[in-house]
Amino acid sequence: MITWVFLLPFAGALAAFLVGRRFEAAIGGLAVSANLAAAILVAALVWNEGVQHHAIGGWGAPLGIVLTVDGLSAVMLLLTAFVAIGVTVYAMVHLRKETTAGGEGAGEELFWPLWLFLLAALNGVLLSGDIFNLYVLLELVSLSAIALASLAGKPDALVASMRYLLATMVASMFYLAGVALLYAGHHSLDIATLATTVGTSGADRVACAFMVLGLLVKTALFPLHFWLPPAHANAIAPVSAVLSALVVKASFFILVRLWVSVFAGTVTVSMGQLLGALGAAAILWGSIQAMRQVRLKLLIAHSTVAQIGYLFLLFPLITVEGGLFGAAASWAPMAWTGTFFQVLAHALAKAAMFLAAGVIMLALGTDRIEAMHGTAGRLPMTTLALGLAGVTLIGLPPSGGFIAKWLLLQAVIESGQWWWAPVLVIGSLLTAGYVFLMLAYAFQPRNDVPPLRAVPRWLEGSALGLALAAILVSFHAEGFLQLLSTGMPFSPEAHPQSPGDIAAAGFWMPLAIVGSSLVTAVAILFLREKQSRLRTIVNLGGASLKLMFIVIAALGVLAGRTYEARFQIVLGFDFLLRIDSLALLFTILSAVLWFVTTVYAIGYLEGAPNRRRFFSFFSLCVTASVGVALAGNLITFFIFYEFLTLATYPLVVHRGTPESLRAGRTYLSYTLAGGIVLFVGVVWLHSLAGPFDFGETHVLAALAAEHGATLTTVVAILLLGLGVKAAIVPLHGWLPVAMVAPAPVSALLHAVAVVKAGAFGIVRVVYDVFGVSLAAQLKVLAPLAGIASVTIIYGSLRALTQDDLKRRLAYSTVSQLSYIVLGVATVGPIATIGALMHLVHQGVMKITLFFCAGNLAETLDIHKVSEMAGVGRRMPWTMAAFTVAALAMIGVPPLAGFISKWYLGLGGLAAGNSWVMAVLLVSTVLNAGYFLPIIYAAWFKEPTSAWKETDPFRRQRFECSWLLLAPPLLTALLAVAMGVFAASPFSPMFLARQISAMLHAP
Amino acid sequence: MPPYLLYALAGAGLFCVGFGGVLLASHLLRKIIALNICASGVFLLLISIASRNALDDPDPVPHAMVLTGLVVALAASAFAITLARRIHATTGATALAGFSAKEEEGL
Repeated sequence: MITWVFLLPFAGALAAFLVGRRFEAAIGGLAVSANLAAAILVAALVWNEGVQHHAIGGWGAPLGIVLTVDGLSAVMLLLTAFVAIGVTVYAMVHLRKETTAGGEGAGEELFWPLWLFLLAALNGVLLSGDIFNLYVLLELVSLSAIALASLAGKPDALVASMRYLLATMVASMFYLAGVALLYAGHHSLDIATLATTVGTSGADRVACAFMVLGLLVKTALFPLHFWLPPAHANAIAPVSAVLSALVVKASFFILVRLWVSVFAGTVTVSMGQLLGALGAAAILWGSIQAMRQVRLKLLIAHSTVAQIGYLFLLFPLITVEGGLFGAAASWAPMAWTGTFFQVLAHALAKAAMFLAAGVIMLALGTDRIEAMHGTAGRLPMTTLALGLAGVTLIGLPPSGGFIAKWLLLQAVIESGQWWWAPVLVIGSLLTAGYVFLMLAYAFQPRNDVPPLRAVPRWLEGSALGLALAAILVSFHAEGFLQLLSTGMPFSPEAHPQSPGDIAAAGFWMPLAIVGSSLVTAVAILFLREKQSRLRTIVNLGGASLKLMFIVIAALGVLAGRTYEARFQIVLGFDFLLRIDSLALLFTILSAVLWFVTTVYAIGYLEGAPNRRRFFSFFSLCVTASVGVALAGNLITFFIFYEFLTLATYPLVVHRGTPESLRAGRTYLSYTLAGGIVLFVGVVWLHSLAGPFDFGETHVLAALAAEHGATLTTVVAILLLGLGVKAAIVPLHGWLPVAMVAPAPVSALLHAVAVVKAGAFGIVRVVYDVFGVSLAAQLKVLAPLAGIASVTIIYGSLRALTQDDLKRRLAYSTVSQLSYIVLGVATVGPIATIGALMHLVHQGVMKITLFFCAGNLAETLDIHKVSEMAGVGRRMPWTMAAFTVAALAMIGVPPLAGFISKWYLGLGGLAAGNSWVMAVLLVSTVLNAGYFLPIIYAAWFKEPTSAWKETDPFRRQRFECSWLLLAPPLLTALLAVAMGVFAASPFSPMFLARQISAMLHAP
Repeated sequence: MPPYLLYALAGAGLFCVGFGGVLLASHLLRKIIALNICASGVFLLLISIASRNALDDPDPVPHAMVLTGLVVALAASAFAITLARRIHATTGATALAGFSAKEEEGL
């Protein structure tokens, strides 16, 4: 059975060579499909029956050759077969294209035989259980790979291939010399036999050093990577994809195989640390080099050097004092599965990237990164493929790279080898740097770009397919992890299985609430730019549907029902969506404001370009923020939190001006850095406590006695990560800059989505992860309250001096958000009520103000406070809404802001912190200081100069389009109602009281 | 000193000479020849370990390995020479030295 994965592509190679160029592509397709089928069958066999052995010709070891398939080989076979499909589809179209284009048709008929030989050899490497057989197959891999690399025929490609050939041949000699030494000592070539006899003798050590060195050259570990970038970058696209995705992985696979079996007794802790250090250097060096490249394919090739570095962190983590299988190394299975998940994720993502680069090269005629201006609009599928692949390489959720980095980081923390943690973090940041370097050009439209050559859809599709696979692989993580652990050299830990209660009645509700906007986002993407009426219907339909679901859920929760959707993702961790009252509070806020903002945005962007992209990402943002609200544990929270970051970026840079791109960069560097800090905190916390859900505060309370100091550090890290989005000073820098976005985006960003996700995260961490009493005991609340107070005052002071209206509002947001944080940090049920209410109230009030600012800009081109004199006469309704919201912000009774400030102040007094009252007083005075002059000038001053009417004929019935006028009036009314009817059921106060009573229950 | 050790040491010597040659020679043909010397060193090592005791029959497995290795080395050499000829034909160069700087700049 298992020999078929070698024989099928091998037979295909011979056939393709014999039949000549007419049918060889067809044979290639057939052989690769058959290979996939065989790989699936082999994997199924391993899955059902465990490790498989096969002695070729019935000759077993020591004389014959034994083939072995364990879980690792099965996963690698599947990966190889799947990447092969994508590459083959691409190659079928690409080669036809290049041949017909005239260009370099010379060696192309050799592609198919060589590629199928390579595939056969790669599969052979994965099956082989014999060190000499591995040598032969590795040579076959190298020779066919280099021949493929030289097919491009250009001088650069030829020279690069030559260098590749020389390096790999010398490496082979080192490997073979090691084989000779081992045979001299042990009279065997069989890995299983050698594993029992090879020890620490001098010859064994030399053999080990020789073979490891040879394999390091072939795997291109820094500083032996010199041959890789030019060879990978100058080949034709499908070949580059295979070289980076699969060929370097083959030698890595052999290295790991030998390390944990033959040389398990020979390798030392310092060897492991050395390989880890080289890996770390590779991550840093490769990423920095990638950033410096001007050619896309060279950037991607240097990224391979960096990503290979991650694989080598495996060695220090599994090589510990007292041997490889030491019982102490409970993290070894984690490092093992994490590393091979990285192999999977990187192979899929990198193949996708090189194929996408091939598309770009065909379309533009060059792969210079500068030439990529505006490709996002013109090659959306390819840009999406590049983006998704980039997300995987950075390690953002929900990609396969995220699972890999999660497992690696957890293994690093549990092993106590903390020095690898900064490498992982910095590596992710640098990766984000070069990925966005690439995408920034793609999103930047320019007028003078040359026309694109048409590119067949199949080319774009194969790249996108592989990139999607790199994401989807994480949804099947548990299956892959189980397969990987079949025959793993470490005894895998038993993970507590949480009960998956899928049949529960409340299972679908959270999914429906999150899904309603996700489906809207996807549906809009499929509509054409011109179908604006249909898009409006879909948009409002999705928003209404979500509201309806939430009303049903709210009634259910108040009646005592629970809604919960739980899936197991990885290692006992669950993906959990749950509707509790706190989630409800935030969900209602975001759903109502989404509805209102959608109406506003439809009016605001009427006739503007790229509305399809805008509304699609707008819906994605809401999906993410509702996901943040419903997340039932930290992991789910983190996944949606990062998703939110990424979905917001295209909205911030929507206008595509240099200024907005700069703002987008600032926004991303702040939030991604915050996200990675948060990631470290989340992983650290779970490596201490294992999986737990929100509300299970007893888990950490039990650890407090033993790990008090560590918990303090972890909670500080978590708050630091969340503080970026919650715009706590000094992490607030991105918020005023992000003001260049269109008004509906500012409204939603500042009222609900991004900043509230940060504030809501702080609420969750303090109340539902640590619990108030533990948080107080860890002494983090007092400093938090201090920082919040500083932020409140600082934000208000900065707001005073801003002349730009939106910037003034942004600094006001910075200040107002910290009211929530202050409430959380003040112990006591009353302060909690104040914080939770302010979460809602601030959203409603601030969105009104931003809508009004948008109306002024849109109708009269007013952007500055100084231009607003007398505007109340021209736009009375808008300014009325503005006035109500501003007064509510200041805290004038009986408006919404008054109620929340009242409770915050009372809470402060109840907790014995009378200084809270002083902070509130000062900030109220400052609030009045920056809002009242605007109100006064707008109503009572004479206009200083004529406004620029954007619509001089005033065709509108009202002062501006009703789509722009209705939303702020509605939200202003809400701000009044929430204050006046605060005591009625279903008001935010009602919910907040309930939640607070629950949180502070004895 | 047993005779097999002499061969083994000679093999190790050849390996080192070849390795040095690949690193130090600049002409492509010299590099390819050096690679073959390096390979011959390993093959000699393999042959020497097949018969360490004149009384026993020689071990056939290392011989089989050498034969396989020769085939691989032949194929690799043939490919390398073709590649070198192609480089010479398209660029007129006979060494890699001139190319490295240009590639690193990514042009």
